[in-house]
Amino acid sequence: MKADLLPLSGISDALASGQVSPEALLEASLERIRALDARLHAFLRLTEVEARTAAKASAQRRKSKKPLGALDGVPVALKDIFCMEGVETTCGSKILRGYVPPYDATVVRKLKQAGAVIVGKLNMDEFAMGSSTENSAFGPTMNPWDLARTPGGSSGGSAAAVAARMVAGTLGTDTGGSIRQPAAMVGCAGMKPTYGRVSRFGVIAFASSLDQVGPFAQDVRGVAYLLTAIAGHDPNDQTSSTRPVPDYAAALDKGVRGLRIGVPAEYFGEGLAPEVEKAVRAGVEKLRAQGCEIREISLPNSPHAIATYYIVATAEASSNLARYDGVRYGHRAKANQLLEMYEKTRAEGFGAEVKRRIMLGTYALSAGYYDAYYLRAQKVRALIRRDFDQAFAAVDAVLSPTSPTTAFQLGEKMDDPLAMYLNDVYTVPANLAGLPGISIPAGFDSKDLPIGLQLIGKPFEEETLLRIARSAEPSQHRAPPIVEGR
Amino acid sequence: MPVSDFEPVIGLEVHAQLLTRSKIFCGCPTRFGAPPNTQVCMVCLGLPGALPALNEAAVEMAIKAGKAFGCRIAERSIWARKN
Repeated sequence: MKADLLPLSGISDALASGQVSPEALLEASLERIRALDARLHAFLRLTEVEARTAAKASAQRRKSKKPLGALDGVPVALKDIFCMEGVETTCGSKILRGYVPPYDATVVRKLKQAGAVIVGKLNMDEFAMGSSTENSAFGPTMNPWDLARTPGGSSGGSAAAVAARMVAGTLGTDTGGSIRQPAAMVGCAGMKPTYGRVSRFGVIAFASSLDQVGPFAQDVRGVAYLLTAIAGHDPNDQTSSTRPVPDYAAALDKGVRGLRIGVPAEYFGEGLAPEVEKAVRAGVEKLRAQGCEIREISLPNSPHAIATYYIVATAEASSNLARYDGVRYGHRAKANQLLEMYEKTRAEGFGAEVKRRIMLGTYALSAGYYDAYYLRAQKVRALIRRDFDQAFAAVDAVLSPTSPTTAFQLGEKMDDPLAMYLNDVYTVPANLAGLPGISIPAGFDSKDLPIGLQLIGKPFEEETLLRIARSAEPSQHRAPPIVEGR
Repeated sequence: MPVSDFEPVIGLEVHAQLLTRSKIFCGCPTRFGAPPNTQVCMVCLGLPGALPALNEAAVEMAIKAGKAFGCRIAERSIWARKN
């Protein structure tokens, strides 16, 4: 198989063995983007000049025969939520159109240090608010498996770029499922680490107690390589953990014999598409056959997770988005007075879903409603976390579908925000509880649309989670027909 | 009602500017008289993606002040943003 079609770990091996050069890989990546992105719209902009410089530097390092890291020379791309010095960063919003950050996000700096070749910035739902990438101010991204369907969101571009073999790996962010759900929709692997495992410095904030940066790759090993590179304490982010970062790929093939997997009853009820359930249950059997003990568990406060999330996340968003006022950066409306400038700037710059969430959040925090909404939601959040703590006394990981359905049609859920929000019903609990979660491909439905299986782990035990994911992932990674020109 | 029926209660809210070398949430200096926009960074400008990092010296001063007034020092404090 041509190197550029291999999953990330295969590309890494091909670079190490000299089978392919970083420059050749970059050319293949740019060629595929040229061939497909007019139809997919995964990218908002390319960083071709920077990428060529990085690929050349990687080739030079390779010549020196020094042992290089697993990401050295590997083409990657970034959700447009990551500040990259000198490169326009919009967060999918008109309010930041033309904004050029003067600094790199910590994770961007780390990827550069690891020798990764950053090819461009990827499309996303505006301010990471959405589950379909249809809320991007710059047009949606299409699902590589069916151009009439969404790739999920908010990291839709990050997921599509990997599935369409445009780059080997990408970074996204996950606040309520925005890495895991798109990974499921396009049939690749996507992980949200434990809250605090990866620095949020330089990542445009949506909900500060929920946001986490995470990797996408076709394969679990590729996800492990990316996580190892980006994880770690950052003095610029005082919510980042000082725990040491292990080599997340080292123990991947140790097997899962004796590990206990919890299957929560509440995640297999109404609203779950039958074909998705069938594929996920087949995944359970695959793990059982490899020696896992499967246990039925209960996470009784699960039904409250969506309501809790849409109060906590919107409240935090109303605070984080208060900075977009037209004064220091971004869009500034023409106005004769200050208040008018603030109001018009935000009215013009923000899309409908962003406005909706700012209003919800402001309301939930307002005098007279704070106790009934925000305070109560934080209490329910603690109950949701406690459900998991109790479950983890008896199991090593929780298994569930990632999303109730496979990819839906563009426009299908845009008239009903609540229907859109329900896409996140299985993913938001891990964000509320701060736990690591990963989605891996688990087959296809009768329309040949990918199905995702989710695993949720104990805090800071990404190694175990990745090991289980490795055992559950498919042995073959079929590419969408569009990649082969069909 | 005679004035003597009322008990005056007077509270003093005292703000003290802390003599730290840098700002409370970033490493920028606070030298008086410096030219405009020379003691700023992405954090105190509130650029997208910036995060506050609490100044340890400020916390030490707060603890000292608390002890000087005979107060109990809380082992754990949390931030709540004023909206």
